[in-house]
Amino acid sequence: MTKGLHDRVAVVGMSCTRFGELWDVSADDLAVDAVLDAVASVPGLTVDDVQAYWYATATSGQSGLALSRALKVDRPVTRVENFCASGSEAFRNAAFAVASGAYDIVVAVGVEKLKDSGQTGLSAGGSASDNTIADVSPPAVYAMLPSAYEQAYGVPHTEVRKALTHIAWKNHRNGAKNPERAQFTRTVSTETIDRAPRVAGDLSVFDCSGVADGAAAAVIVRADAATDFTDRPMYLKGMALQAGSGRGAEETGTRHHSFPEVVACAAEAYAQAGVTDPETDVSIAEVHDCFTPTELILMEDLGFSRRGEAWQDVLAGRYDLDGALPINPDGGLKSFGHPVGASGLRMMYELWLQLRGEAGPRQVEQVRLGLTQNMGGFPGEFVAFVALFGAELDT
Amino acid sequence: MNGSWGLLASASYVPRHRVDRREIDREHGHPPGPVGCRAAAGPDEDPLTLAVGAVRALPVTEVASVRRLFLASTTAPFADKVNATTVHAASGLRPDCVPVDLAGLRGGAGAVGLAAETGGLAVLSDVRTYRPGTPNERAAGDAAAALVFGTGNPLASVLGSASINVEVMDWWRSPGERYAEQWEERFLEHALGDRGNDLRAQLETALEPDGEPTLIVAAPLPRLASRIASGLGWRLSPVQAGHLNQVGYAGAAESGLLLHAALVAAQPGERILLVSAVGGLDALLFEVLRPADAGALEPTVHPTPYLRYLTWRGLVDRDPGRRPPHVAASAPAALRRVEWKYGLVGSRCFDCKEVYLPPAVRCRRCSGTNLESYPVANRAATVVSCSTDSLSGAGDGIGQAAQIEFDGGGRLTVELTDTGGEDVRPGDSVEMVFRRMYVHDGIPNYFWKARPLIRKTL
Repeated sequence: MTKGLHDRVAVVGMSCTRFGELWDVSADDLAVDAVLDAVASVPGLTVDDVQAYWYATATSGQSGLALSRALKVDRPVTRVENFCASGSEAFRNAAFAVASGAYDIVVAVGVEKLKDSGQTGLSAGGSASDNTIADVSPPAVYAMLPSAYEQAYGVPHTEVRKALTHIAWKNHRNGAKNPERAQFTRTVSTETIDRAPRVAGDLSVFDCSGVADGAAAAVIVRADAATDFTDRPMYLKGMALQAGSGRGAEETGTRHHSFPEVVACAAEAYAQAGVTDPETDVSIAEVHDCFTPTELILMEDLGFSRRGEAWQDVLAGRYDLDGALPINPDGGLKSFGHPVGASGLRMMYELWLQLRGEAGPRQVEQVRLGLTQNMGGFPGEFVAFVALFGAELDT
Repeated sequence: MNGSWGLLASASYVPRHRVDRREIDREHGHPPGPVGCRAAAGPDEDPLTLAVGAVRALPVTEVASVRRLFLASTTAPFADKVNATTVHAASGLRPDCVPVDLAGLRGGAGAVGLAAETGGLAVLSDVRTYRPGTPNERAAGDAAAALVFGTGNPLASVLGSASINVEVMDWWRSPGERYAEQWEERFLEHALGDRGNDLRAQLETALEPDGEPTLIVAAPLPRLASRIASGLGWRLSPVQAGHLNQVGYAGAAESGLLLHAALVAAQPGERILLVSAVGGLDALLFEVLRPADAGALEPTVHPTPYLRYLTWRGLVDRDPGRRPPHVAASAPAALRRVEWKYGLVGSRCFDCKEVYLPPAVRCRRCSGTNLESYPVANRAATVVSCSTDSLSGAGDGIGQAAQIEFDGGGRLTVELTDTGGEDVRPGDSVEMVFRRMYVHDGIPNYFWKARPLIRKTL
């Protein structure tokens, strides 16, 4: 088991821009806004105090210059790209940098400008290849999950469909309580969700996350110095990332009713954080609901539901905002859209608010330990990330 | 408002490139015709960049208050999108100035007539491409002209106008066709050439009693122009022969180019009769009130081989080089930075005066976030360092790149153009020009390049 950074790193300032179709701002503007706001959230801190940056974007900029030029700083800036987990990856490497003692104050910022491409869905670049990869859209690949889940556990499709609808309903309901930042801020009835046009397979537009622009940033310091910056830091309790070998995509007999990369990350992060019973130890979680079946399966992979029972827990309201374990209290990717480089840090921003008691109408009672789970890729081959955060240092 | 109504200023823009007409004859195995050359839009020029060149050659003070922009061209890049908005955005016109496109060869005279009647800016621009080896190809030229009408201190007053409409298949080109077609020349001389008396009758009051004006006739065929002059009973101004010899017939831009050339050559008190002969006849009679500024009449020309001209027009499918394909500009990104992309407006820190090109939102020097607009399109600049570029310019020989610094501050890496193949050196002065960087999926991508200022020693 890895040693990890349990109680060695803390977030002392954060920011999150509005997410949505931000026609009037560029990726540069978003990055600058996120960094300046995060720095401004720490009393007395200025941009000049920040010693290094990790800048996450999938397609909106290349190299550290994308940030340093926009922000007009002369500093070490590392551009980070790891598919849809890019924002979490920026945080992870920034955390390593302060934990190593190389830097005292660093910033991780995630940005994506998706709406400039004029394309439907996510825009991805790619290196030259033999072009033998099937041209299948992300919704089509994720639309294969529900049937795999139904077959694996013998659950009727109508029940799984109800659970997916409940997840979409729940996340939009949470997003409606987040009007300053979410892309979609209205509740959506289950009837509307069920009637919506299909995008791929049985997934309707309400089963898919939106396409949005946005940015989020975190100021990161060593845990032992955290209270010099704020009286309510957010401490990193455990963190794991795994890039899968592609086993699920290639091996005969695999079915996509589980994401092995997520299971491995969860086990590693839980061990670092001392979590033995995720169902009760974790207070809230922000997970990667790129599509509703993803969230359904994640409930089992993260150990929140037993295998084959997540659909029942979902329908029982266990993961609602007033349930036993609120999932995506900020509205998730469903409400925020998925500006690729920003999403991982956006999830952390909600934990930041919840752990500090600043989540307003979304505030969950007695939040002790929060989890973020962020991932990129396709069923069978994921880059997965799991992190745990708490408001107190362990004694 | 003080002042009187009339033509306030005029200007032309002629590309620096010239194709020798004798070379065209030689390459096609034709017997040598009259000597002369035709102006050729460069590989980064099109009707909109020529139009911007003409507007930018006008005095800034005359352009600043214009409320209407009439753009006439038969070869503008877009059918549905308004072409004139590009000219508007790149010329620093006021935001409530209405840009309108006029189509067809007669649109040139139409734009001048409209602006003369309602006030505003008439911009006439064309890059006419004819089938290689035809007399039309030899006789044509690429150029633009701009004329401002309104109240002020006019260069010329408008004494009168006349029009005769003739519905006839004279010159035509279907959408998507590359080359223009025309009916038999002798028929066109008959259809349009014998109506001088009608024109004179309409203009009678304005023409009397001063006798023969300076006559210029914008017509696709020189013999038609001569026949119209004969019908009117006057001689064509030598200005016309000079223009046709050194520039060429410029389609919808022809009226404006002839008028500007006549104004530059005219003395106060002289009267100029402009006749356009396409789709009928349009005539405008001017009286010159004061000497005109020669403006941007280009003294620098670069001899251009006919083969390169054909390559620029896409008539020779030259190896583009193994370079990554261009990508289309994002419409939202271009709109957010419309002032930079089209107006070359950077930003300057309000507090410490540091200049940022492109505009910044935060000052590197003083960390301030209070930045103001800083236009540099009209600022002189000096080459700091430069290099040839055999890769990016692969589609058209060797390109040149430079880092330049603007007078008053601001530094930018630019492509150089209109160098005539001469190496640019550090310390050379350059000016900014609005150009078409490339075309992707039929969409031209416009931005600014730098070109050497004309050296006095040349």
